[in-house]
Amino acid sequence: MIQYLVRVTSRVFVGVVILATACSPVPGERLLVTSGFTDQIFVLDARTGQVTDSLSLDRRPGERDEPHSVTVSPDGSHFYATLSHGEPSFWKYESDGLRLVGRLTLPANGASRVRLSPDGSLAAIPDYWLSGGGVESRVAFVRTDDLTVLANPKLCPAPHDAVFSPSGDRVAVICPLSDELVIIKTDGFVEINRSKIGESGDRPLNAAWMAEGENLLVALANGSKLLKLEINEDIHESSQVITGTQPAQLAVAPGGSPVVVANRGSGSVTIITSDGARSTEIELPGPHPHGVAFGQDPTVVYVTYEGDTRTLGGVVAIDVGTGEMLWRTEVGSFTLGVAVLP
Amino acid sequence: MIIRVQPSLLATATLGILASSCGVSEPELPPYLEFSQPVLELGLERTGQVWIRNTGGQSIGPVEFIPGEIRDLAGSMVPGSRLSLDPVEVPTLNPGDERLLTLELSLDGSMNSGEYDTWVRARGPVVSALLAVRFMVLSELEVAVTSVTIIAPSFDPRAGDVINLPLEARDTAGTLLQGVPVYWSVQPSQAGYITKNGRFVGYKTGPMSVIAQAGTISDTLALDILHRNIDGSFIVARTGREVERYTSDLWLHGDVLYSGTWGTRQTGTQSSFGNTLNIWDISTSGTTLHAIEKSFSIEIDARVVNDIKVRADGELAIITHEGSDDAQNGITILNLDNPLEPTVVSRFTSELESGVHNVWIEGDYAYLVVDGVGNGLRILDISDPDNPSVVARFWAGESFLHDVYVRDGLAFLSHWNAGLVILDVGNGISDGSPENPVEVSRLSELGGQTHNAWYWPESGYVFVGEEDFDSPGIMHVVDLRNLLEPREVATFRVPGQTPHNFWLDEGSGTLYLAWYGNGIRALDVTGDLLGELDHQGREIAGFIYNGGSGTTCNRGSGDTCTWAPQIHGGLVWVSDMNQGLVGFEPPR
Repeated sequence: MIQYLVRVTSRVFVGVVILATACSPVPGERLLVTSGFTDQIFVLDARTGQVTDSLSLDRRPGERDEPHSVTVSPDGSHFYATLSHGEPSFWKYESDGLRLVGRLTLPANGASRVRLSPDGSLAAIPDYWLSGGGVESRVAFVRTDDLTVLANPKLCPAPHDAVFSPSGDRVAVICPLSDELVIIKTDGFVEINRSKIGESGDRPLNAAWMAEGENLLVALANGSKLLKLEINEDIHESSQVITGTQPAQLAVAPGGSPVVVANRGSGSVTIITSDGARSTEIELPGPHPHGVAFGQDPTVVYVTYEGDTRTLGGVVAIDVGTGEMLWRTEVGSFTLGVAVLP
Repeated sequence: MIIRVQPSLLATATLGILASSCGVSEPELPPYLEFSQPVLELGLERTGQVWIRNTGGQSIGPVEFIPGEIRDLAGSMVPGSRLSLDPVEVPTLNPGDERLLTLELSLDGSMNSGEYDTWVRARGPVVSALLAVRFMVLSELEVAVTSVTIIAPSFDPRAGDVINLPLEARDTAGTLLQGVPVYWSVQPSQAGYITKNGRFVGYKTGPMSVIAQAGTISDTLALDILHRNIDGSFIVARTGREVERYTSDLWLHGDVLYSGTWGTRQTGTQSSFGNTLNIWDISTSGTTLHAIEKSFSIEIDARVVNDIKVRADGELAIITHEGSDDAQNGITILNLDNPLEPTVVSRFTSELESGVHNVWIEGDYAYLVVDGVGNGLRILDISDPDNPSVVARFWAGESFLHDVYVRDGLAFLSHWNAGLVILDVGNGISDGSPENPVEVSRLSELGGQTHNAWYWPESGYVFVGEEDFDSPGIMHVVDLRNLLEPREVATFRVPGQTPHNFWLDEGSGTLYLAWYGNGIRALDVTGDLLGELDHQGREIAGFIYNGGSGTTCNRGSGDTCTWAPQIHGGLVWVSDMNQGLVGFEPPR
């Protein structure tokens, strides 16, 4: 049964919307969607799902390079993407004109997600070295202004996600091959905590901090659930929420609720209230949901699905209150990351 | 999405922010790249430094530094010499930023005394800057020489024939001098290329001169360079149409052609994926144009079936997986008891999860190219095809492996920006074996993006493809007569496109090169090879058989987009990304 969730109408939220509408003729929100097998980023109108533009990241037209993750700077001035194959790289674009302004060849074997610090000055890019045979690999911390690698600590086998805390002082690194969570202090990029999470083989993949900065949500790809962890001097599991199978990315709505999880295995999204009391699972119209992003409106979530070896990928907009699919666009092949450009 | 905003909130929310975010600002100047000097004169130095600056008003990046070829004053390219740059790329340059660029020359020992030119292009997404670089090579000239005589060859060489020109230098007493430094040159200046040891190759037909100078004494040899008299044309003899999917590599064995499929192809509203191995019966013979048909196909869990190889005994084949749904990728081993309808024996994924791009089979071992930096080569024991196992691993320590070719107990690894790496996997030179591959040598100075290689033991050459879509790439000829010291001796380029895969007809010495939008090329590689082969009348034929600009490979357009050649049954078969398969009667 679809649970109706609370619409967020806080003053802070409204203020952000006013900013977007008052600076006419600022365009409406756009979606950036990575297409891993066509080596593109597609640009969509977030209101309608219409594809308005595309960017080629195809450095080697005869090979696949796999744009994987995309994220937008907090001020909306830039966006960043990772390229996973070949020699993994980190791409910087100006939002104005969608202009490429930088590219860094990463000291990595396979780049997965990219996360930004709250002020946008730092990017964290884990080396998701899946074929590394369990060898410990690294997370690159890159200064976004000039794309300088500030630190590249070796942390665990094939880290997949490295998420800055809301205050920016810590980074939670998710290690799927060792079922670990590692906490890094951004002052000096040193490890301050490490813990096994879930059961052995649960394969934690992605995470999201709650707005208060003390709780971390971690999706267990093999465990088909979400862990809520208290991150203080120690790491404590405080609760679990069952999701669909193989949960991939998750996102917390602006304002803190709901939480949306893309379930790659079961082809669905799970919408959960932040207290975990209510959850809803909604089937998606395409296989292998992957990326999740909110824009400024906490009532609408954007979810990508990869497609498979017979079908294209795509992206859908879902009203998290009603579970209604607002639009669906078939776009890309192996469609992975999604971010909202103000 | 509809947001209803209460007017009262408008005023309180963001007035301060609005003032700054909505202000009208001056348009920024575009980015502009400048070197700190337009020309870098190195003289006799072999290293130098220069600054690159963004003097514009917007950020720019990445800024790639592209080194030019090294050319003598006559404009001839010097094989085996290269300009290295550090860094090779600056991620971004904000307005006013500058970075120091270090240049280092690596020069072939055969270069004559004289002045040489090269260049560096700093290339951003929208603007670029050019730096001219000049340097000198100087040998100490022997002043005691009073006469020099070039010994004329006993025949008139053809364009592309490499000849050694002996030289006699004598002192006042008429004594023959040994080891005298000689400066060689060619007139007209672009009529040929000559090394400091008098190794000469003619580029243009007709009369020309070779000049040898020792001290103040010189001799001139008149030569009449003959036309190479090779020509021919490809004639389409077979076509196999595949327009639903993009076609990747091919392999032929017996009367069967196997072809892979690649990526995502959209035709109207239909999308088709590289999840299929196509099998074609080519047993039909005849000389008239004849279309072959797919007789069977196998679908696997992949978005790219990049490669297919059949073992020499024809009993099994291996196909590669990239982009599988289960993220396990790996390979699938096929039983070819019925070669027209293979059956799946096993799928193997361990240590291959990031994807397998290419494969080579040699007896009981499969050599697998695993995608990604840090992964490299896995050697698989396939003596029990139901239960293969990884027996060895090799990674060159940088970049990623792209292709592997095994011959005479040597594995040739096309290791992208690490260059060409040669392993002993049973040759004996370094006591290597398939279970203990040992590096014999490597040649990293091939311009990067080392994509594929073909070793011809009879000649001692390796033909190496550089897949660079920007510059674009060229074919490098590497002299491997000394296995421990590979060196580049010649190049071949076709303007506008980068090469892809090669196949050598070793009987006729004809190298077939797939060249994407430039179609299929046939190159005479008989005899010694030196210099720029594309200047020597060695190209027998080039065929853009299905139209196209020759400068792009327009996927999905139907234009020529040649992926790989293979000689089989008297025909040159090629896979074409857009069209499927074409079989040509060879040009000679």
